[in-house]
Amino acid sequence: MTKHPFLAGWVSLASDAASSVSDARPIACPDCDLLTELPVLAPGQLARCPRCGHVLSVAYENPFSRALALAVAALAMLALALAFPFLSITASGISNGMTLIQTVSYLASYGANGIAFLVFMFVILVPVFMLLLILLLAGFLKAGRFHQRLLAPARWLFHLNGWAMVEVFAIGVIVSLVKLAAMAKVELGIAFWAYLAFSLLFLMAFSSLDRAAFWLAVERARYS
Amino acid sequence: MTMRARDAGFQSCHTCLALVPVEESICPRCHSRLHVRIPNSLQRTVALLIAAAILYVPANVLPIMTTDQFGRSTDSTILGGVILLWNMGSYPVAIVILVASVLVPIGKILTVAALCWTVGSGQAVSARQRITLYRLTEFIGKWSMVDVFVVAILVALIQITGIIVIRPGAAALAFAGVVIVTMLAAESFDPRLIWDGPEEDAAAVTANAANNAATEEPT
Repeated sequence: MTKHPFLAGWVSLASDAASSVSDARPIACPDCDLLTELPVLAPGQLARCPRCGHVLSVAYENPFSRALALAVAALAMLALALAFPFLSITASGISNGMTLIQTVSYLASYGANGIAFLVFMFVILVPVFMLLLILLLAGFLKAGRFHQRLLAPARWLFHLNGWAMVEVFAIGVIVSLVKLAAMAKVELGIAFWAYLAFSLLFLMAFSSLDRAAFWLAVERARYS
Repeated sequence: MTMRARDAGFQSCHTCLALVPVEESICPRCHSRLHVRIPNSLQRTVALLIAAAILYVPANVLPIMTTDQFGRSTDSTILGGVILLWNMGSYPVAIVILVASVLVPIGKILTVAALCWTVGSGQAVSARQRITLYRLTEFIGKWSMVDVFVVAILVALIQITGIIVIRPGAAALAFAGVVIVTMLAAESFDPRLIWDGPEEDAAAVTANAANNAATEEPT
């Protein structure tokens, strides 16, 4: 534990709490500020705050390889979702296909630029940006390397959490289908299923990068 | 004996969870700015809640979309859409929209306001219950955006048929504003304040006094 220079002086507070577990880290719960210890977790284990129940850390097997694989798969699915018809509608015997990008471009064509921008941000741009950050950061950490310049992108990744709304959009599609059911025949296109897969893969890719484990890996890569 | 990091002279980094002495202002691990608590958390949260409550009015009064059919324009509000769906017999979707678009935003504003009030006035309400409420509002936050996405999808999809035209209404942006501002309000509320009540502060003082007494004894 003492090989990480900036923590060396502070770990003394954990020593009186019988730090028999070799690498347990002192940590404060971000939700209730309880001073506690984060034990070293085996893959599949999860640590909760003893007072408020907040999940402090979740351990995955090979988290960085996992995140990389899921992020690549998610981006491939998004490419399909953008390339193929998303929904098709049949009214008065004429069938037409709609693409994902048209949900944004038609809004803009009515001068609703604000809404068009927000939909584009939450549904496509933020998740894609997060996935690219995951590729970059997980790639370096998998190789056990980290550069000071990567600290800012790593902070962005964790601050963006919550602002990607892929799964909300997927539910929005279902709601739209029901709304239109009485009016016209609407069919789900390949791109819808691709987007659904994209949203699941995106959520799994991001959740592979546990906050505590990620920053511990950053610290090891920089100071070992 | 439970102890807050603050009482031990430490602060937790918001970004990377490093435990850092309170004297430091920049996290040595991830270079984020450090705070023992989010600065002016309650004031900021209340200000955002007021903004959300104001935006909630146009979001519900103005039309969220306008339908042009055979030269006739029909405006529909969020609540109007719910009633229409209910009359069509789509009860599950009507309930989803009613809950996600009408009840959740107002529920979130009231819940976070109640949390601010209990913290600000030092009310002794179960911390465990309050943190559960807080986590619920945090989790639910973005789901209210569903109605905005529905408008985006309907506008594009109906446009393609060329028979009917659906135009986005002013309420859509106001409503997106409500969702974004309430999400920011939940983010700016520091849940650790729930555990900063007078009892905890008193306990910390007595614990410190006991510690001091213990360390002074040998000399």
